[in-house]
Amino acid sequence: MIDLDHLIDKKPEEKIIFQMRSHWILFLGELVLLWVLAALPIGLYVVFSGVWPSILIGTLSKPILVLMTSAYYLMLWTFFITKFIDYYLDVYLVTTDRVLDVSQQGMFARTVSELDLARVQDVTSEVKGILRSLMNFGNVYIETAGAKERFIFEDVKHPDLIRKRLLELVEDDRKRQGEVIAELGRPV
Amino acid sequence: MLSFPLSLILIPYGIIVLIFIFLAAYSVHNLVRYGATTNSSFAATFAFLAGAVFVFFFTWQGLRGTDWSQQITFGGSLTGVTTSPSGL
Repeated sequence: MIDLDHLIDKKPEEKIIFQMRSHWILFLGELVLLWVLAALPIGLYVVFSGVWPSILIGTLSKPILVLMTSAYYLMLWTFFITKFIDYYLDVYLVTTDRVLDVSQQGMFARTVSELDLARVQDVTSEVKGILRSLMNFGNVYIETAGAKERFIFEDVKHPDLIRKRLLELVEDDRKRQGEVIAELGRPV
Repeated sequence: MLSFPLSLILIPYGIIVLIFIFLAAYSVHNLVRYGATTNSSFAATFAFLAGAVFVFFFTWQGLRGTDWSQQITFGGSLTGVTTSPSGL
């Protein structure tokens, strides 16, 4: 589970109810691109072996090619870890008190948005498309009364269940706050 | 004709390696700081570091026996002397 203490000031009684990120199938799509790019130098090696074999064994050309290939794979590997971090650290958290959207953009940028459960007005789930229907993932839209009208959980697993659970949590939060207000209004 | 030693091409490669090391260290730091408690985070960090070791090992293997004092000449032969078809 993501370390919440590094992101927000957690209240003493606050608990993480669930944590979500986009479906892994979307990250898999990016891994396919990585494999295609990784296979490119191997394809070139095969082509050069047939067309111009001397370039692969020349005393000058061989070290140059080795260094170029090595640099290419190092850059590709950096691309992989950047994509992984982008996917893995992009999370949605629902606690007993609020909703958090931690958005990782590349390696050096992160945005954390939070929304108090008491401000949630409406929650909508949406599953659109063949792949999303088959694998049961989609978007959850949270409507609020604030300036940022919509909070979106993009491509999360079981959006319908999340919507139901979120509405229950909103209801629980309202009850809790009502009890606190009643407690405060009681004559001493 | 203008020529320079082969060892000069190690400079741009060294710069790429330094950038890679910086980005790798920062990535691992990010993963450890925010998501170290899961198996997938650990697996990705391990795969990344293992992959990097793999690339460096094969680079070292491919460069073994290279004569870095050779001169690259503009307009000269691109391949240099052709050796036996082993390695790479």
